[in-house]
Formats: sequence, C-alpha cells, structure tokens
Amino acid sequence: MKLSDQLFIIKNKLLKKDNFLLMLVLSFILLIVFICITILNFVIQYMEDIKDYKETRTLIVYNPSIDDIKIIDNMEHIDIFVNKKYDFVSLETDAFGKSSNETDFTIRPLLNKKYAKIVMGKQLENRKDMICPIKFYPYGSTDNNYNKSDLINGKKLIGKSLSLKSSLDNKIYNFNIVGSFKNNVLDEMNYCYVSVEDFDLFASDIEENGCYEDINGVEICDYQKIDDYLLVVDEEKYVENVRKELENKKIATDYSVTISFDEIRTIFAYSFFILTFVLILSVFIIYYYVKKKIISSLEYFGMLKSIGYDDAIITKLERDELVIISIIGFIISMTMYIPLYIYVSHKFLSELFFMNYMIEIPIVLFIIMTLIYLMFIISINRLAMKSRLKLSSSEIFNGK
Amino acid sequence: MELKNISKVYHTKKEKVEALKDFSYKFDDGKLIAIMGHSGSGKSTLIKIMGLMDTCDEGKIIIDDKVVNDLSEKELADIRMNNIGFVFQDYYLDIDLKAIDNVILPMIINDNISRSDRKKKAEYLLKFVGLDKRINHYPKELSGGEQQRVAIARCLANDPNIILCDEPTGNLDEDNEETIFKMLSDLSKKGKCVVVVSHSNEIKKYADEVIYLKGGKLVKNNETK
Ligand SMILES: Nc1ncnc2c1ncn2[C@@H]1O[C@H](COP(=O)(O)OP(=O)(O)O)[C@@H](O)[C@H]1O
Ligand SMILES: [Mg+2]
Repeated sequence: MKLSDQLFIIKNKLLKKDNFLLMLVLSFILLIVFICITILNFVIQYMEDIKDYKETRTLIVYNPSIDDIKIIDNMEHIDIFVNKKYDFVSLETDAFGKSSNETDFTIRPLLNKKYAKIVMGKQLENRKDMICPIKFYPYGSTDNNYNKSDLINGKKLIGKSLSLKSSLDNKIYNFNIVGSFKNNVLDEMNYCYVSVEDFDLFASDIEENGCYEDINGVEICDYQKIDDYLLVVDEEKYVENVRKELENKKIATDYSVTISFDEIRTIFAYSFFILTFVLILSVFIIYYYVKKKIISSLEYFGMLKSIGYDDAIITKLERDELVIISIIGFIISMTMYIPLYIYVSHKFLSELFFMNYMIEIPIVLFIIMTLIYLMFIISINRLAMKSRLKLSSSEIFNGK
Repeated sequence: MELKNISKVYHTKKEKVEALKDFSYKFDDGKLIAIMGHSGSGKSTLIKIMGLMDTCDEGKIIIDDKVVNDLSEKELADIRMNNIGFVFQDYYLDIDLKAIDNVILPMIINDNISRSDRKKKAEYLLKFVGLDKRINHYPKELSGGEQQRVAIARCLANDPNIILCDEPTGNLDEDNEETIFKMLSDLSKKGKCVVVVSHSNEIKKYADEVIYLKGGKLVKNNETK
C-alpha cells in the first residue's frame, strides 16, 4: 500500500481522543526522560572532567624547610612541587578587545605538558611561545557578570602575537600564540600557558604582604619572600594519603580549592531515581493506552476485514498511525524541552556550577530513547493486535 | 456459492452453543435469498461463515467451484475483497471519511482498479444508490437510510458477485426499508447472489427464495413470488 493511501486512511484519525491522549502522554513521558537524561549526562561529564582538573589535587605547603623540600621531592605520587611564585601572574593588556581595566588576563608556567592538551596548533616548543584555552574569557569572570557573547574561540587566536610588559624589569616581551588547549569545566578561562623560562621573566619571588597608610596618608606596603610551595598530586585518590604523610612529618599543608560534590551527587541521585521510575511507569502507561486504542477500534478493524483488508495490512495501518503519533509526541516534547533548557541552564545551573560549563543537549540520546519507545509501542501493538484481530470480525455482526 | 454440511459450535465459559448444525444450501447467482428465523437461530453465524469472517467446525464452503475452507488468512481476505460485499445493520462506515472516501476505501487494496479510476467509480456507485448530491458528507451528516446506501455503494466497490446483508434494515423505517430492499433486488437481477437476513416480512416480496433457520438448522425452504 502506498504512503499516500495510508495517509488517506489515517489522517483524520490522528487527532481523535484516544490518539491525542496517547500523543500527550508520550510527549510528557519523553519530556521527563529527556530532562533526566540531560542532567545525568551533564553530571557524568562533569565528574569525568573533574578527574583532569588539577586544582582539586593541589596542596599548598606552608613554608617548607630545605629538609622538607628534600623529603617531598622523594615522595611518590607527586607531579609538581614548586615554589608558589609559579602559580600565576596577572598582566595588563588590551589585546583582547577590551580596555586593560576590563581585562583580567594571567599567564601560567606549563610545569607539566600533560596539563595542556592541544586541540589545535602546537604545544609550547620555542621561547616566547604561548598557548591559550579553547574557551577563552580574559575579562574577569564571576558567575554574575559572565557574558557568554564575549567568549573567545581560542582557535582563532592562533598566530596572534601579544606584547606583555614585565613589572620586574619594565621591559616589553612579544609572545606568539601557537596553539589552543582544551580547558575543562572547572578550569579558569582567563589564563594562557608559557614556558617556565618565559614565566621567570614575569614572576617575582617577592609578594606584597599588606599595605597601610602612615600619618601623612602615604601608602606603605610590606613585602616578603614567597616561602610557600605548590604540590600537585598525580591522582585524586592519593591526595588524602599524601596529605596525611606530610602531616605525620609535621609539614603543614592545605587544599588549594575544595569542591563540594554533595549537591551534584544529590541531583544525580534524584534524576536517576526519577528516570528509572518514569521508565518503569511509562511501560505500563503506554501498554494501557495502546491496548485501549486497539480495543476501541475493534469494530473498525472488523469493518476493514469485511471489505477485504488482511490482518497484516490492518496491523501496518495501526502501526504507522502509532509511528506518526510518536513522532508528533517527540516534536511536542522537544518544543517543551527547549525553552525549559534555556531557562534552567541559564538561570539555575549557571549559578549552581562553575559558569563555564555548558550543559549539552544530548540529542543523540534523545533520538535513541525515542526510537526505543517507538519499538516498544510497535511491539505492544503487534502483540495486542494479533489476538484481537480474530475477535474483531465478530464485532460487526448483529447479535454478536 | 454453496455450503455443505456446515456446523459451528461456540465454546463459551459456561456452555457449548451449537450455532449451526449440518447446514447445506446452494446460493445461486442472480437470486435474492432471504434468511429468516428467530433471534439466536444462527443467521448471523451463517453470514459470518459465508463471508469468510469466521471458520466453521465442519463442512465445506465452495465459491466458484473452489473449496475455500483451508485457505490462509490472506487468501481469505483476498476472496472477501474480490467476491464478497457486506452490508451490516449498523452500517459500519468509517466515520472519519466522507461518503465518497468510504466507497473508495475497499478499492485502495484492489490492484485492478487504478488510482485515477477510484474516484470516478465511487461517484458512479453513489449515484447508483441515489446519493450523488451527498458524496462529500461525513457519515454523521447523513441519515440512517443514507448511511446504509453509502454502505451498499461501498459493498459494490470491487464488483463482488456475492452480497451478504445482516439485517440491513434493522435500524430503518419502512420507507427506507423499501428503498434498500428494492436496491438489493435490483442487484440480484443484475446477476449477483444477494443474501439478506431479515426479520421483516417485507423481504418476502423481493426474495426469490426464503429459508428459515431454527436452532442452527435449516427448517423450511420456500420458493416465493
Ligand atoms: N462469538 C460467539 N460466542 C459464543 N456464542 C455465540 C457467538 N456468536 C453467536 N453465539 C451464539 O450462537 C447462537 C446463534 O447466534 P447468531 O448467529 O448471532 O443468531 P442470530 O443472528 O440468528 O440472532 C446464539 O445462541 C448466540 O448466543
Ligand atoms: Mg443476528
């Protein structure tokens, strides 16, 4: 049977009560499933990305003695152990489209090449090379003033040269941006990496300790040598051990940052629970509606049989009606999902999580999920039709 | 069409119902054959079995000199399409299709009728039943008599030579009944085998043969007119 003939028969049936209900029910089920999948997908990716995030594995070691430094140098599971002056340096520049007041740009030394995975261009090779993140936002970024439209695509910066002034010798150094590295969820977006040697041109081992005004209103600042060290543990699971070991040796440490996973774990658990619940419930709901639809169509099937339609054609007609209903259901659920996505991802999650994390729409998963539902609906239909088509021929005779 | 020694037993939870017992009859082309009998006497069961909508437990059904008992579901559907037209008490039109589309519906699965001919043929058939002014109406916009005439036009869509009617005027008033019976009689005169189950004595006026059923058995066989 040709498609146009099929549509000729089906078209006026699509919006009948039973079909309409099934369409709505399906679109709500899909909407909830899509939301849960989005969240789960987000959380899983977030957790995955955190593994690469070295700040969670960074400890600050307070004022270690020369002996302490020797001990730590010989410890296991340590990727980086350097003076804190190798953390970062903030620099003034107006090279990124805004005045230097509005720009918040820092450079960091690339202490270990594995911390910058190049997505385009080259890794640092020569002096005065610089690599910048793929998602680059050198404008001072807190959750509140983050402006997505200002985000710079790091790939476009490759080939650009940059003049930076060192406050150590007041000289200007020219850098070339040679590559873009992947920055993860939690990485700050405002820094570029340079080689350790180049970094030394900018980094002072003296830091400001605090300023005050004297009796004449003149500002006086105290300076001190940087004694603290940064220690990066190679894997998340060893952080606690390393910290304990240092504690035993009376070496004071602290975490560089602490991230609470409680919130995200709660969200994960809820979404997982809701998804499972909806998946199970939807099996029964869809079964109910498909069966109801078939039962209410028995006389119609009987009529079709009486005019010569065979069971296979009737099953196919019914199946295609369900396929169209499912596709419309999918479209309805997506039209509800998109505004919800825009609202939630901008308003709610951007505050809850680090702002440079983009929540993806896992459209492929949505389509797979919809296809699974479709296959499920088709098989229920086929199963329920089989036994009832036989009955249907009796339905239309008088005195059934 | 001929039935030989047909028996049919319905098994319900409580009991066994013998709906047809050893029924034999030859239904000739060109005749209107009326089937009469009390409610529950097996008339609908007979029509159902003749129309290949149900199977019998014993006996033979012969159409065009072929025994059709053991054919597959698909082959039976094919015979229904080509050789048999049904008319029911409750019309059973597709309420979502216009009158003309209802008549086109059986033609869709018939490869012998080209797409372009469907509409013309449906118009012709609706004209035959006197509904040429109502072809674009939906069933709910038509009276009972008109709906039944659409059903008659539909049963003729694929030119069957057997027309089976199960109380076709059961829901209609006398005037409409007369129109319908006349139409069915006309069809038999055109050479079709028309079988009409009816409670109404009026049918005797039009019938070439009347058979009576009682408890699933053929009890009387009157040639009328
Ligand atoms: N599908 C069925 N299941 C069980 N019993 C049935 C079924 N159809 C008909 N019968 C029984 O078979 C007998 C004949 O029914 P039917 O052919 O409908 O009679 P009529 O059309 O003459 O009123 C009745 O006793 C009826 O109850
Ligand atoms: Mg009956």
